[in-house]
Amino acid sequence: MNFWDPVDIEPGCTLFWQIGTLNLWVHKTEHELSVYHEETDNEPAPLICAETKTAPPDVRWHRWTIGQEKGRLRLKPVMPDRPVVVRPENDLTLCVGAEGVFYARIPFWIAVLDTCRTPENLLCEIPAKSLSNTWFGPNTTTGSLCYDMQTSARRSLEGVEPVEHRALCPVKMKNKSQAPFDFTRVCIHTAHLNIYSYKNRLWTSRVDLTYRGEGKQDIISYNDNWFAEGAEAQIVSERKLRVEGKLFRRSLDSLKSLSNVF
Amino acid sequence: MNSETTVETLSIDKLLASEAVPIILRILVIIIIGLFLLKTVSSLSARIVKNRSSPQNAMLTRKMVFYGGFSLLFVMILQELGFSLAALLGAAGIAGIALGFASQTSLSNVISGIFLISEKPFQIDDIIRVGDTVGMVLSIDLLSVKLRKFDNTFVRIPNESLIKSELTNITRFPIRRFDLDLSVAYREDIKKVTEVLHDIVSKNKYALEQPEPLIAFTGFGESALKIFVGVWFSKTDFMVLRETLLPEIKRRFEEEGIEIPFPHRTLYTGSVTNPFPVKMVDD
Repeated sequence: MNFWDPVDIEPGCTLFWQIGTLNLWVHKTEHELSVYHEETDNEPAPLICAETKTAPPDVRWHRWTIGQEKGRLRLKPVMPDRPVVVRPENDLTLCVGAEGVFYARIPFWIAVLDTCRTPENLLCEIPAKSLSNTWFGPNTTTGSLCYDMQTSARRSLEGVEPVEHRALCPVKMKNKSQAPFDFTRVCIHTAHLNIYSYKNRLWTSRVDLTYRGEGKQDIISYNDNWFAEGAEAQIVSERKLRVEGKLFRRSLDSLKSLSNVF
Repeated sequence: MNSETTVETLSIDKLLASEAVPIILRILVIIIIGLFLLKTVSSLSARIVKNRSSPQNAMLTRKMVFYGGFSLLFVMILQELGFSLAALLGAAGIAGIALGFASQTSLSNVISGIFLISEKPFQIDDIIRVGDTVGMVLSIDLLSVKLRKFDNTFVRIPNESLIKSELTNITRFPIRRFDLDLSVAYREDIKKVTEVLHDIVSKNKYALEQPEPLIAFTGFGESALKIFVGVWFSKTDFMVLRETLLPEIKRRFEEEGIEIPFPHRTLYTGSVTNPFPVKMVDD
């Protein structure tokens, strides 16, 4: 059974899912669905899909009145509700005219959907792994609040084991400026990304970033046709915001610190 | 005889035939239609402005449209009652001078209000600090600014006071820094203390990764080493950051054996002074 397929849930039954460090319980009563989730500090464990398991005692459930006895729901991976700032573990410099594809593994969120109705009812969206917050902008007064994550910015995925609670995001970067670019952070606007299922992994649309020089805005586009020709990539979750053409926006950052001025 | 006259005067027919009735009717029509139009137009204009500008400008527009229209309505009613507009304006001028002398404070507040509105140091829903008062801005009017304090009390601050005093807008920018002055005992290793603090801050989910937290040894206190901790956070997370960061610092310091000293003074007792040596010399 596919992890993302719909499941039936009988009144009085509690189902359990485990993905990454997230434990999720859904309980069905006559006309209600209740959801409880917790994040563990343990290492990500193997996937558990819709197993019958009782929730811990005295937990605080979130209840949804769905108004029907029949229960059918499904989980769907969705992108985080804020942009994600990706920091390479090691310093990375793009030489003049250089271009390359790097892979970032972005932890996705889980949407719980009541599928008894058309269109489906979205009950809640829960992070499969909570990320810390960060700020992305030229100064402390303009910019946006984002999630922060570190990545090894791999160039190849050979020998890399898939991580269940993360979607692989290819980022194609190009330095079109006249100077080498030392970048410390990339801001990925996740609302513009589709999620695909391909070769037992979840992937996102490719982000194409072009650095044009100091003080100039970067050119960003989102590519959905980057899979190899004939590849059977299936769309699992559609982007929240559609973009037509290219965007001009700051997405690359070489700013080291904003805190050195007291 | 007298009672008959009174009855005649009050009879409906006479009243309807008199000249006053059409005037009263016209005034009633002006008031009803005028107030309805004023309400509609002021609400509509406020809605249009709110979509394109701030709630503060929307509120100002609504009030300006309403009071402007109301003045016009008042003049129309006076004209219906037979007052001359020229005489009214003349009287208004004289009354204006008299009122101006009598209400200098109010005028000062009005002028300060205009400056506040044009300068925009804060907007509706911002949280500001004026002197010891901290509260959320409810409205910015011509005479005063109304605040709601966090204990749900209402504060009215005259605009003149705001213009004269120092004002802090706490929620102007999306992120803020939480500043903390810490003291540790002189025997502590500063490097270890700053490492522990960096670890505590990096594990706090409300602290921002960027801008980086600022943790610095700032000087030698009377009874402790001074360390400054500045942690950036989203402006909506102030309380949760404070409630998680401070207890965690105390817990980790206890765990690591780092002492937060009380102010203390060490007294040393000196040895008893020997008497000045005196030697008796024989004559």
